Amino acid sequence: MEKQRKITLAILIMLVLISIIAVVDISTRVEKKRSIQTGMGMMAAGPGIAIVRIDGPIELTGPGGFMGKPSGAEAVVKRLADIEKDGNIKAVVLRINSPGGTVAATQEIYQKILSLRKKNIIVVASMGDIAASGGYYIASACSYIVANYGTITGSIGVIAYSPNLKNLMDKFGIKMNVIKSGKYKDILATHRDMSSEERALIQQMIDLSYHKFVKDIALGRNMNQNDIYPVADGRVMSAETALEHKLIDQLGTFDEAINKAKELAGLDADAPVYEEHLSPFNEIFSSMNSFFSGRLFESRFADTTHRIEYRYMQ
Amino acid sequence: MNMETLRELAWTDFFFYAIVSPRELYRRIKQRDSGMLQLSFAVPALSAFFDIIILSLNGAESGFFYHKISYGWLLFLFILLLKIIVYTALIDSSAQFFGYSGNIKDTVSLVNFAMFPGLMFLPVYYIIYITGIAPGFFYVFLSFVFFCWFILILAQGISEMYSIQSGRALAIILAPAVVTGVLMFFTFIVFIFSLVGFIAN
Repeated sequence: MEKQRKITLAILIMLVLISIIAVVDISTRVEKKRSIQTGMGMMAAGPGIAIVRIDGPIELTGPGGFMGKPSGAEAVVKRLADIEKDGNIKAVVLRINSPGGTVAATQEIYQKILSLRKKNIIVVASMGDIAASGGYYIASACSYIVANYGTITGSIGVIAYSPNLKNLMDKFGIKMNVIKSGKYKDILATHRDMSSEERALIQQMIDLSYHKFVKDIALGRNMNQNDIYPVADGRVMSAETALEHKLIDQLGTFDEAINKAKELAGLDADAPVYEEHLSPFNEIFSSMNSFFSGRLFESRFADTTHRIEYRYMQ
Repeated sequence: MNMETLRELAWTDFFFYAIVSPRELYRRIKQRDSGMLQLSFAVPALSAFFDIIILSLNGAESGFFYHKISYGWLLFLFILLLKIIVYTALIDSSAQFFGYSGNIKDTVSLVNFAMFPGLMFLPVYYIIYITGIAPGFFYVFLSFVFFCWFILILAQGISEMYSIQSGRALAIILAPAVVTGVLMFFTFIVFIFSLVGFIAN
């Protein structure tokens, strides 16, 4: 009796396992086919343009990352790397709708775009609602920049922030026990005032990142650094003002950016445009991940991690 | 059904006897173990899921697959449960028509467990699909084989339930299908006459 029950249980487990294998098998084939359809599999509809989207704050790993897939800036870099390897993609339109983000993440994308340009792949930036600070940093690496009339751009600068909760903690009688190996180990700590030495140290880092920012814009835009500094004081500006300062090349829509990319790459007007597709599983798991990690609502002061950012603080 | 019962694996007996001895299956159902009815609904739930997978293996490879195994499964399950309820009610009515007492709760469990061998359709068909040996033919053939197996289990179960011959049990099972078929046929004829009359006028 015992043996018979175990055999039945084994059959039931086998049935469940086979159903899982079949689902994974079908999913793999669906994803493979979809990858070919989106032009990343070399065999699609011929030479064309790829669309890459950068939405929201830029971080190395964003919400999502289902089944080990990269997310955030890493996902953008991976998509650009796939495009680099794909002989069918002659130009890329980078749709940017971002207030910027962390220094490292921004620089990763910037460098990848330069790498594409070195391989004679045209990269055109199309700015959406906002492409400020790190968003503009990325755009500056592109061969050509198109912005809408209503785009907010600029905000060339670096920022670091941390809340000072000393008075609040004193009021509630909360004291922190800090054991540290060096006097700067708890720099930007929220429970005490910042010393002038600490401020100088952070300022030094900010200045270095700022000069790197301006230097990279000058490199990407083929401009003189001295022409950038007068507007690189953190100010945001309209697309028209940015055009006057030669920070962008053209006022126009997303469609106009696509047409410009086709023109610069020497493609026909009816050349295929390959959009990025997320599988429904990825979309569901991305939103679930966002929900459980609490990213659906932004809580700047609850975020205790300290960052130095190329970011426009709205 | 508590953890102790789960560990004892006594619940697997229902699945085992569904394959090897449908009469013993009914005797187990009759003992009315707690949680047995709920357990029996695991079979249609799995069956609906497996049906979706088999259909997806035959269908085009597209992103719609993800909708099929999520929302599609729920829809299939809902339809299957509806079919089980309607079909069980018809069998029960048919049994009463033949002069036996109704026993709808046990019949529901019997119908659910009778679907268990049908779950083997997926592994068998998956092998055929991978090897590529006439999947179209085997899909139809296996559907027929597993349907016959389902009817066979049900007939023996009903036979045990009312202590009657298997042939009479088969008549109880098939009577609703025959009556429904005849009714649908005449409804169709009346519909065609009405339609022709409407067009002619």
